[in-house]
This record gives sequence, C-alpha cells and structure tokens, in this order.
Amino acid sequence: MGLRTLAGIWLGVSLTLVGLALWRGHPWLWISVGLWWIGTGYDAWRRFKGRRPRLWPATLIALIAIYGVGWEVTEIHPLAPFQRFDKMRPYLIALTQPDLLTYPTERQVYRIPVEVPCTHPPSPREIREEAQVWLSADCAQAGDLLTLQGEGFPAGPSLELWWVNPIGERQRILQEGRPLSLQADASGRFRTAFIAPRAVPLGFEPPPGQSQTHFLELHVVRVIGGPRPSEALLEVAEKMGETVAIALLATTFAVLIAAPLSFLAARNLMGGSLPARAIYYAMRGFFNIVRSVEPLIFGIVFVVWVGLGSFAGMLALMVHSIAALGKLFSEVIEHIDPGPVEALMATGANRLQVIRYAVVPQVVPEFVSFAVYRWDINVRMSTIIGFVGGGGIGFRLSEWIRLSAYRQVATAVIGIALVVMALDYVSAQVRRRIV
Amino acid sequence: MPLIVDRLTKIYPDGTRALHEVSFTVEDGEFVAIIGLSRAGKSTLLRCINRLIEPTSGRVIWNGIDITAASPRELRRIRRQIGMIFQQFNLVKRATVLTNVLTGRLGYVNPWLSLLGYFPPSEVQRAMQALERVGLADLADKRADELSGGQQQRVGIARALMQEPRLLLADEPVASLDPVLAHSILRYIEELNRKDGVTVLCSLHFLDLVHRYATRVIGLKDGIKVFDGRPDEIDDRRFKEIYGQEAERIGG
Ligand SMILES: Nc1ncnc2c1ncn2[C@@H]1O[C@H](COP(=O)(O)OP(=O)(O)OP(=O)(O)O)[C@@H](O)[C@H]1O
Ligand SMILES: [Mg+2]
Repeated sequence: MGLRTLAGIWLGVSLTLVGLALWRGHPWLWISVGLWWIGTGYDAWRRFKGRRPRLWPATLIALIAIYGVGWEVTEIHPLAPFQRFDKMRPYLIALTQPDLLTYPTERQVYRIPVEVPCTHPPSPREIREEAQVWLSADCAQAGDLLTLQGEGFPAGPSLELWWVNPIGERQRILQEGRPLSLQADASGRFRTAFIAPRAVPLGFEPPPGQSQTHFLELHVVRVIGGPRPSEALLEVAEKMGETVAIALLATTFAVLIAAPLSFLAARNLMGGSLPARAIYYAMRGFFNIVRSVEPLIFGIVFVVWVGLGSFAGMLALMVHSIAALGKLFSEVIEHIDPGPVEALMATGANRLQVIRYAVVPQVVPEFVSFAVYRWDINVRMSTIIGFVGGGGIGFRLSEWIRLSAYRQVATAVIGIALVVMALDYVSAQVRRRIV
Repeated sequence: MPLIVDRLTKIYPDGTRALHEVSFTVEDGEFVAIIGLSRAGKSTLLRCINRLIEPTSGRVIWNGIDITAASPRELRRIRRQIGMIFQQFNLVKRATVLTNVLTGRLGYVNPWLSLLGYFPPSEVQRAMQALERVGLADLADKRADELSGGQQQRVGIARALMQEPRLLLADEPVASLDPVLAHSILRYIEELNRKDGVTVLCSLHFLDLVHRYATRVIGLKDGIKVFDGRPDEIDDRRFKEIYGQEAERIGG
C-alpha cells in the first residue's frame, strides 16, 4: 500500500470514529479515537524505524468501535425471538391448520332468555322443543358461572353457545379463550358450565334496579354436504391471480419499452459519433439510477399519484423493470458475436437492417429468458407491493395480520409460497429450453 | 476500372501501426493473394478497402470513386457491390441458410420492407439460385449453425453472390478448413473470378494455394508492402523477406 492510500485510510477512519463519538456521545468512543491514533502512530514509528509495519492493533480498535455502535444502533436483542416466542406461536400453529375449507351447515336454534342483571333470586329455566334444555339460572351478570344441560339431542352434530344482547349483538361463548363446542353423548345428553360474558351494550345500560333481556342461544350445527373452499381460500386464490396478472402486465410493458431502449445503451452499437455517445451515457445513467430505487418506493409514489390499487402496483413494478431489464438487455447486446454485424455492414446494409438481421436474432433468446426471470421476480415483488396499497394479495395479507386472523394469514402465506414456487419452476424450465 | 490503394496507413487508437503507406493498383479481373505473417496487417488492409475499419490516412479509389471520402450513404452503395467473406464465416447462426443468403441483398431491397422480414419473390429466387451454385439448395431451410464449416463458408459465398459483386474481399476464407475443403472453397472463388470477372483480393496462409489460384501476390510485413509480383517470382530470398529469416519453406 502506498503512503497516499495509508494516509487516506487513516483520515477516513479517524473522521468516522470522531463522527461516531460525536453522534453517540459515549466516552469509550473517544477513548477508541485516542487508541486509534496511538495504534497508527505506533505503526508509523515502526515504519519510520524500518521495521515491519504493525497495523492490526489499531485496526482491531477501529473495528470494535464501529461494530459496537452498529450493534447498539441495530438494537440487537438476541433473546427476543425466544422470550417472545408466544407472539409467534399462533402463526406457527395456524400454519398447520390454514383456513382452507368450510362445510355448509344447517343450524337449529334454541333461545333461552336471561335477565341481566338479577333483580330477583335466580331459578332454573327450562325450554322444551324437540329436545329439552335447562339453564341453571334465569338471570345473571357478567362473570357468573352458569350450567347448561340438555336431553334428547342427536349425537353427531356439534353444539355451539352464543350470547345475544338486546340490540342483537351476538358473541360466541368461549372457554379458556377458545370457542366452546360440544357434542351430546350416545344417550342424547350433554352438560357444560360456562361464564356469562360481558354483553350489556354501551349506552343501553338498564336503569338501577331494573334488568334487560339477553338470550343464550344453543346452536345445533348439522353439516349438510361436502367441503367447500373457505372464503379466505377463495379470496387468496383471487388475489394471487391478481398478483400474477399485475406482474405479467408490468413485465410485458417493461419488455416492450426496455427492449428498444436497450439498443441505445449498448456500447458496441453506440460507438462513433458524439451524439450517439451522449445518448449511450444518458440511457446508461437513467437505467442505473432508476434500477437502484426499490419497487416498493415506486409503489408508494404511484399510490399517491394514481390512487390505491393494482394499477399503482403495476406501474411501480414496470418502472423498476424497465431499468433492470434495460441494463441486462444492453449487456446482452454488448456480448454478441460481432462477426455477423461486420458481415452485414460489408453488404451495404443500413444500421437498422444490421440490427434487425445481425443483432436481433442473437439477442432474442436471452431477452426472453431475462423477461421470464423478471416476471418471476415481479410476482414475488407484487405480493409485497400490496402492503403499501398496490393491489394483489399483499393488501389483504396486511389486513389479516393487523386483525390477528392467524388462519387466514396462514392461507395467504401458503398460497404465496405455492404460486412463487410454481412460477420459479416454470421460469427455470422456460429459460433452460431457450438458452 | 482499377482499384487504387494509395499510401494507405492505419494506426489503431492504442498506437499499433498496422499499415504503413501501402500502395498498389489492382486491375479488373485479377486474383490477388495477400500474404504475410500473422499480425502483418492483412485483415486491416482488406477492411480498410471497404472501410469496415477507417484508415488513418491514404486513399482507396475504385471505379474512379474515392471510397475513403464517401458519405455514409455513398459508402453503402459502394459496399453493396463489394462482396466479403471471412475466416469465421460470420453467418447469423440462429437464422436459416436462406435468410443468411438473403441478407446479402439488403443493400438493394426496400429497407422498410426488409425490416419487416419481407423479401420479394424475385430475391428469394435469386437466393435459391445462389445456393444452387454452391450446391446447398436442399439445405435452404436449415439453421446456419447446423451446417459444417465448409458448408457455412459456401453459404458465405452465396451471400456475397447476392450482391452481384464487382470486387470480392476474402479474409483467410479457408484458414478454418481442412485442405480438401480449402480447395473446394477456393475453386468457387476462382470460378467467380474467371467466369463472372470479379476482381478478388484474398489473404491466404499457404503458398501452395497462392501458386494454385492467384495471378498476383502482395506480401505484407509489419504493415509494410514488401512484395508485389507474380506467384512464381517468390524465390527463397523473397520468401525470407516476407516471412522472416527463420521461416522454412513448405509446399509450393
Ligand atoms: N482493433 C485493434 N486495435 C488495436 N490493434 C489492432 C486491432 N486490430 C488489429 N490490431 C493490430 O494490428 C496489427 C495487424 O493486425 P491484422 O489483424 O490486420 O493482422 P493479420 O495480418 O490479419 O493477422 P492474422 O493472420 O493474425 O489475422 C496487429 O499487430 C494487431 O495486433
Ligand atoms: Mg487477419
């Protein structure tokens, strides 16, 4: 390393360390600055004395300081994934039971009135219809333990308990946080205890000393007919279709625009005259700048510009793809065999004819291969772009995550994985056939 | 009308002097072999004549027209009358044989229609005749890269035939072929020269081929013309002038 390089490194590292010390304000960072100077001074002294240079102590100090700040800024918390595993568990469990199928059902409902709260000592209440049910109390308030038993029920269907308040709001009765579901035994009997839920509607509280009528509903849920795709599954399927279509259109438009532009960014075609060189550098610069902006950022911009939805997502992917493909395409053109170009120039063909007959046939297969690959990338990208409002599955997925709809999230994640894998395979096959 | 090469000099941007003040005149109908060691400047000379490479100085005059001063438009009109064949054949590998031959006609046909891939039936017929002439009519629909080396060079000749050339530049047309094929290719070129009266400038590596086909030889060494005469005038002294003192004469 030359003296000039060493001086440059010394200055760069010194400024970095001083900058970090000023920013974070830790005393130990100032100490590291001092140690860096001592270490490099020691190295300089050795060099001056004609001994072998020894830079590693100073280098070590600089690295410790830089990684130390990096660690702090990144808020590294190695235990968090283990300590907070309970946040993740529902998602993992849901993955094993995604929301895929529903069974069409028929419900038979027994309604048992319950006075809330009690204005008299509670007594059991009995309902007789096809079967008989007894509720342990005809009045209750939130938190009371109630018992429900029944007789004469069919053994197969599952039984659900619902609580309906006076304005018709309905909630499922839970047991240990999960929906309560039971079945009658072989003799047609069941018995269960549950806790009366908080259900008095806000603003409709009964005056002191009076009660209002709620209902406990017992649903006998009979499955009629085979499994059907669940609503979440249908929605995931539809949104995945939308996602693939967004990617397809974005890629196609991008190819149509990038392919002609790429010829203007190919060094071997744009040699010679000054204007040609200028166009070459302008195209190159355009591709490089646009390519370095993530599609997600374009997504946010286009959502503001053209409004929420698939069109914004498509535009975002398209713009990024134009630049990415333009760069790749122009590199393909730069690597063609120059022989045919030379041969056709020698026949007196004009520039466009040379491109049409000597360049295009050489580049088309690789163009197609890159285009298919891009489509594949764009499908993956467009699942994300929905998170910022760009249409497709991402939008739904972000909602489900917010609502903690674990099983729906699982359905979406599995759907994305399957489609991406399938397209990965298809694109690999297409590319293998072509090149 | 003769081809006049006048003090042609080429210095590449990196400073390599590939040609230095090379002058000669070629009369119509001559078969001129260009010989010289590797890097002597043979390819550079041939490419300076149709300006695939821009000469640094000097002039090339053909049919009374100064090629070196021609505008791009004029240059295309001149080029379309100058056929060229190459050591590596320079075919478009993914295109069919017929398309490759048709591209020889691009300087003559309607440029816009040609961009759409359209060639008039008369041109397609001309291409089939050219292919017949080199004995490849039945391979017209094959892809060029499915052909053997000798066949590819014959496609190259057919492509040049499409130009109805008055002058043929051939840059080591047989250097990638075995001796038997070399003769077969050179016989096609010879036929063009004798029957159609096309002037031929052809760089060659083997002296026996030079003796067999050329009517005149131009020797280059380090970009300088060191010999210009009949093939039978190349004696041992001349040979060593062209190929250097250590060279051994083989064949011819
Ligand atoms: N594009 C280029 N840039 C720089 N130097 C070049 C270029 N093309 C050729 N040269 C140099 O010019 C000189 C003449 O090259 P040229 O290809 O004309 O020789 P040649 O006689 O055809 O050789 P060969 O038998 O190897 O084909 C060589 O020294 C070569 O390295
Ligand atoms: Mg050469």
